[in-house]
Amino acid sequence: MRVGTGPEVLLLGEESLRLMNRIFSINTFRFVAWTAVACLSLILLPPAIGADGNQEEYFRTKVEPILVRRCLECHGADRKGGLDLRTKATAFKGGESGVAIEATKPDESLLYQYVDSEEMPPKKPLSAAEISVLKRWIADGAFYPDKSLDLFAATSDHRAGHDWWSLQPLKKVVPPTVRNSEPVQTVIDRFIVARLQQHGLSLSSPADRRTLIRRVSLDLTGLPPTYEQQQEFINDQRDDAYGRLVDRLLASPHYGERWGRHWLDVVRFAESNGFERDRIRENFWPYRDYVIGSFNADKPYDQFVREQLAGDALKAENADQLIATGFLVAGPKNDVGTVSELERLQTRQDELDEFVTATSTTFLGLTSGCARCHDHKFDPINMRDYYALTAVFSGLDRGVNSVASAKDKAARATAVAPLQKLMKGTKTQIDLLLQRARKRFLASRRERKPNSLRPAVTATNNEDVFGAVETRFVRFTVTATTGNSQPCLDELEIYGEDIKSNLALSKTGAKATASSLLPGYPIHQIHHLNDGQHGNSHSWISNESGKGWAQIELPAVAKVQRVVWGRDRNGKYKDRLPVGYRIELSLDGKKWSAVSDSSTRVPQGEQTQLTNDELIAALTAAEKKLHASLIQTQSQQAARLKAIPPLPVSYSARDSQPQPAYILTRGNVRERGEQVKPAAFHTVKALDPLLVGVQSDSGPNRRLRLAEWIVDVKNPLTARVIVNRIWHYHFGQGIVNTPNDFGFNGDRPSHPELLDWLAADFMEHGWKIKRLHRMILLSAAYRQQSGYKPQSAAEDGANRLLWRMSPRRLDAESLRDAVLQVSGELDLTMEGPSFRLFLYRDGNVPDYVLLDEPGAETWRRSVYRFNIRTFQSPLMSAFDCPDASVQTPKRNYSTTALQALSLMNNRFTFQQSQHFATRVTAMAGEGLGKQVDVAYRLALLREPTEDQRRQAVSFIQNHGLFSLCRVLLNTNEFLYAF
Amino acid sequence: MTQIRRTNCTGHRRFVSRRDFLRTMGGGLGSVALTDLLHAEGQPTKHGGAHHKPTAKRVLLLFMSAGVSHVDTFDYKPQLAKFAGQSITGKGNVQDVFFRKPGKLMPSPFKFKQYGESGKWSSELFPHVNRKVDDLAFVHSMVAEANSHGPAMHDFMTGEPRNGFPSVGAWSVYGLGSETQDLPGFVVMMDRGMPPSSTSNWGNGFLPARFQGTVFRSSGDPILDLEPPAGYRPESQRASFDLLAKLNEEHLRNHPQDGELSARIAAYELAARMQLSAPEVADLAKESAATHQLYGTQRSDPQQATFSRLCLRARRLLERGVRFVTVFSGGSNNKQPSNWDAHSNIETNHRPNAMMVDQPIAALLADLKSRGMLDDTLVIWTGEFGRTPTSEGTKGRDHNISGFTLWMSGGGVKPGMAYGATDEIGFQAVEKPVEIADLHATILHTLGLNHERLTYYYNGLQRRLTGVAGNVIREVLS
Repeated sequence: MRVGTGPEVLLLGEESLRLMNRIFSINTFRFVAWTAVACLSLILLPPAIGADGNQEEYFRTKVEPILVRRCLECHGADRKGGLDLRTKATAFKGGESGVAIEATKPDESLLYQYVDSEEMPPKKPLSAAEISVLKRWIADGAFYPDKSLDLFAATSDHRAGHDWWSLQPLKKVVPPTVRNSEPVQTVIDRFIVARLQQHGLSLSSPADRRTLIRRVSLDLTGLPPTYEQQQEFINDQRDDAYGRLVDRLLASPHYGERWGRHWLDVVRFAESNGFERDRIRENFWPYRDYVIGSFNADKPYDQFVREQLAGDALKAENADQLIATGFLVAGPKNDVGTVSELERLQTRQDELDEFVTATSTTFLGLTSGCARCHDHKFDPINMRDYYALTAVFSGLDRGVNSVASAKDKAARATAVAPLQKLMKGTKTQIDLLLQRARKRFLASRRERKPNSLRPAVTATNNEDVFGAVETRFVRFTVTATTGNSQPCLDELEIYGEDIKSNLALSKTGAKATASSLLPGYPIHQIHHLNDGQHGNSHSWISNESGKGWAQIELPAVAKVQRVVWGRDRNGKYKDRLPVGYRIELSLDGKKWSAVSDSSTRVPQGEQTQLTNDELIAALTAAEKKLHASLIQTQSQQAARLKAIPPLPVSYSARDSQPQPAYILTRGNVRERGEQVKPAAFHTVKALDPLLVGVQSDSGPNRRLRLAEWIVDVKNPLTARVIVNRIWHYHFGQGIVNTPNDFGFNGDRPSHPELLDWLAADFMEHGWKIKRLHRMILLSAAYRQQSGYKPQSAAEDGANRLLWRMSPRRLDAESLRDAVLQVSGELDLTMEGPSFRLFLYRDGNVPDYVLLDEPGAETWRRSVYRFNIRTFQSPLMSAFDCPDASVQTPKRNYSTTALQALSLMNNRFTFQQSQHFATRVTAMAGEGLGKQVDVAYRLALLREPTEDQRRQAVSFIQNHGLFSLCRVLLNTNEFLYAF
Repeated sequence: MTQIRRTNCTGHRRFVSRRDFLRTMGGGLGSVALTDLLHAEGQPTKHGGAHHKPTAKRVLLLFMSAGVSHVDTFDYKPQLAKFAGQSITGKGNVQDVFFRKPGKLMPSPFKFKQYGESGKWSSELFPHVNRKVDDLAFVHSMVAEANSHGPAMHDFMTGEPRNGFPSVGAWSVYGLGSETQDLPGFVVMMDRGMPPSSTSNWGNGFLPARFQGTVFRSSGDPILDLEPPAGYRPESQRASFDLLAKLNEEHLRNHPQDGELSARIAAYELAARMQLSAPEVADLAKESAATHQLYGTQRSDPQQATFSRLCLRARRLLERGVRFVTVFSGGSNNKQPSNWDAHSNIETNHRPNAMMVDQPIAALLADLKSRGMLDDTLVIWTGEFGRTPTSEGTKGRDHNISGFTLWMSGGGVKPGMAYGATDEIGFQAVEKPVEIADLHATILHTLGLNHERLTYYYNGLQRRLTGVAGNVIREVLS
């Protein structure tokens, strides 16, 4: 059978494609197949029971399926043409055209006339056999049951009924047996191999260890292995080397970061409200840590579900359980106030819809939003189901909750109080000292005439002139900058008697050094201080806030009398300006004497705004000593205070009195219908939905009952859905390829029996996810090669049957993390507040400004990135990182030119390529061949070929090691897992 | 008040589009990925993706952020003068629908007269555009769904008041691909920073990222990350692209027939071409003095000159085959003078805003026409909603979603006509109301796309830009 590909398929029309899908389904899946078989028998067999047979039996087996599948969609709740065939009374009453059924007289019954003339059903009339069934039924007296017909009773061409595959109980499955010669590693393989064999296909050979360790490390931890880890695995001779590797990775805390990230996608986690204002959620990160921690702890999935839906109802000491309810409130929140009652109701109803949708798709794989306005058009969910579920959430709101116990609070208060008292005392003493200094400073400045002061520092050009002094070293020390930023100098010029000859120039042999350098920017370098070129693009920036020094060593002792300097002589940039500084000279680089400083200049800004340095300078020697010791005490005390952890809070659920819920006609908040009690979907027949519904329950208890209903072992959806999600992330596609949708519009399972077997096994063994991972990862299916096989592709182009491992591009987070790991800069700190790639300005509509030069504090794993709904990081979003305004059950993996531009030119790549190069030099020394080897090992986990080494060496000679590093981070070999 | 519409479902049978089919065949790295990439970003399509014969090849959306007043521009309501200072209740079609006490009716402070052969009544705010009224089709009966900027912007751009859904530009490029080899298919420009709701206005939602709008910046490199940071030598940049291509080709030899690996090689080639073509399209130096004069790029007011330059760039982008261009007049509410949100004073807000955009928009219409491009370019001028005929404070106007005006031109639009109408005071659309979904259906229709057939599967549904709604406004099409 062709599942697949080839250009001719592209020319097929919509009908053919649908037909093909159906053929695939019928041949493949018994669940669906039985429906089809039932239809066929209906058509082929003549009516078995005659007028004297059991009329009810005849109706149930022959007539009802036709009415339900072919008529009720329009002539049910929708009452098209006024006809409602659900109940006996309305069916016999007929519609606008007249009486529909005249018992015993088919020819006078409009129903029969319409189907017989093929006017109804429109587009696709009934078969002759079906028409004759209806004729006989009416002729025999048109038996109609007293209980009304249910549109959802059976699956039809265009909708799912209660017999839909995913709603059936899990089947007891015996894994198929396969020949001994087949490369079976775990039970899973028996299912996979059996299906492949049906199509004349087989698994690919096992992947080599080099490929395998990179695949499984990225898969389980989101990080590539290091070269050393890879070598260790390759050289591990033990039989169970791979199993040990899997165990090591599953035990790694980075496992939770990776798989927690997947879950955060599903639950639309982001740290802002979305909508127009999109305010920040400062305290939502604990939920992210809760998710990561739950995965790492291998928390049973049923417990994970309970906590997220109703952690606030669980009576436990564990604050985590309240944090867990962050799931409920993770979605966007419309916080634009309104004076309109109608809009307020509408906004609230939208919010309830968000809760219902997130819950039903996340845990049940059912899309329910359709039933907000009308009974679901595709799945057996009606409006009553939908609104009964809104009743479960009807008191739910959000808030920043303290997740500290009373004991926590008391303990903290006890620890903090004495320290705060001490700190207050220290501060008073410091303030007194500085007040004294301030008076002294202002008094002395009043004595000097203002015009005796030199002009204030400018960004473009400053001169400091002093008596000619013999010197070898000139040092410019910055003590204060605008905004306390790292200072910038574009050029430091030194002149002697010859007013035109700059002695500092490197081409005359002078040498520049500095206290530090802002890393990652080719345009900011120490040697730019004396390269004779002006402007920001040829400047130096220190790596210290508000300070730093730059120094010129002259080739020989010379007489100097003037220093000229600026921040940007081209006048474009004015930030990072040194406003407090001193210039010192030295003959030996050890003993220094100051010749000029900023104190004789008009101060920047407000005349009375004195810098701390200025104040301290006005202290006497004894006072200075006292001040220094007080400052030390103060910082020690501050450190002690900081070491006491703050009381934890988290953005999570807050449930007030549940409000009555009504069925809203056409979803309109102004058209309240019947009031409904809280309940789960009656869609799942194995369970009683009303178990959820106790009107007197508090909100948290309603949710707890819902959670218990969801994780009941008789619920056929929950285990299937989570098992499928896990499978989906491992193989790049699920057994059901629409992880949020197990309904009619979703995908049909490629291996239905495997799915049921896995789901049952999962529940039997305590809902443990790590056990499931292990079973999947040890399978031959997972361990096979990823090479393309044209013949297999011709049979199954989408690789649904798993004849190979599908190679995959790294997702945005893995890519960023992998770059940081290779550059050696990855900060593996776990937990805590997210790092920000933007500046946040609060306001009625807050402002987000992208940071130009994010620093080392942002070089953490991407799962700790602050994700704002309306303000995306361009690099991340280029690589398909979603904005989390809606759920992302499945990432896109697109290939675009903008990705290429981002990964080549983004500041982040430049920064990290620079660090990568520094790391290579540190490890390899100056030999270019060695550098190439090390760079290849770090980025691609292998040695270069001879050719590649030669090529790379000459490339480094012309363009620098940095350039090679950047290229390696852009290769397909780096960007994909094979 | 209009019926609240829900668009989160579709009653239509499942349709597997060619593109969906290609997508689902991927299975990781399918052999079709390369075609897919080129189709979306490079290869001319010759309407290969269209459902019917298009009347427009491309779309230009001129967006007046935060709500331009219809009763002060193109929807003349002389009755307002008569009712000045009176209560709105009982006037026009208004019933008592207010939850907040509205202000009194306020006549427009601007003078109206008739223009063109069509005799269109229009205010003095747009002297240049007024000379083009015979080329325009006015829709006076627009109705929006959400009353605050963010949701209203989302609704206008994506058909959903929430964020996270694909914008009309993304849908267009998804449906048809681009006609340019060297530029993105969907480009966005803004004169005063991010409009309300920021990047969601041109997001790809659940569509793949390649369909999102690309921001062309008004200064510096036109595209973010188009060039390496300053100081990196161009020859090293070229050599890096070359080395990368070599390494990837070598790698591909060990992974034969993996379409996506080849597609990524092609993506880097396209990126390299973009480094040349994007600055070229942004560079206005080669335009004639007369053209600069026409658009007013040398106007002394820097904000005015900026909008002029954006309009001229828009023409250059359209000329080079970009499918969808959006130009925003006005940013978010944080910086003043920010946008068209004239709560406190309609006159002092709208006059300078109109000055900024009037001449360049008229110039753009004339320029497109003289180049023969207006015939197959759909131009739309609009805001996310209109403003009330009543006053807010003493001189301002509040948001009005019950009726407002937009105009269209070119690309199959019937010129010199007016469609629909608001009541006598301009409060509510009473004749042939047009919902956002109808506009979306119409835009797609001119591009040759059937809005009921352009679908993408996401979370349980074959999604459409128009949800379950949308009727093509056939009367405004010729």
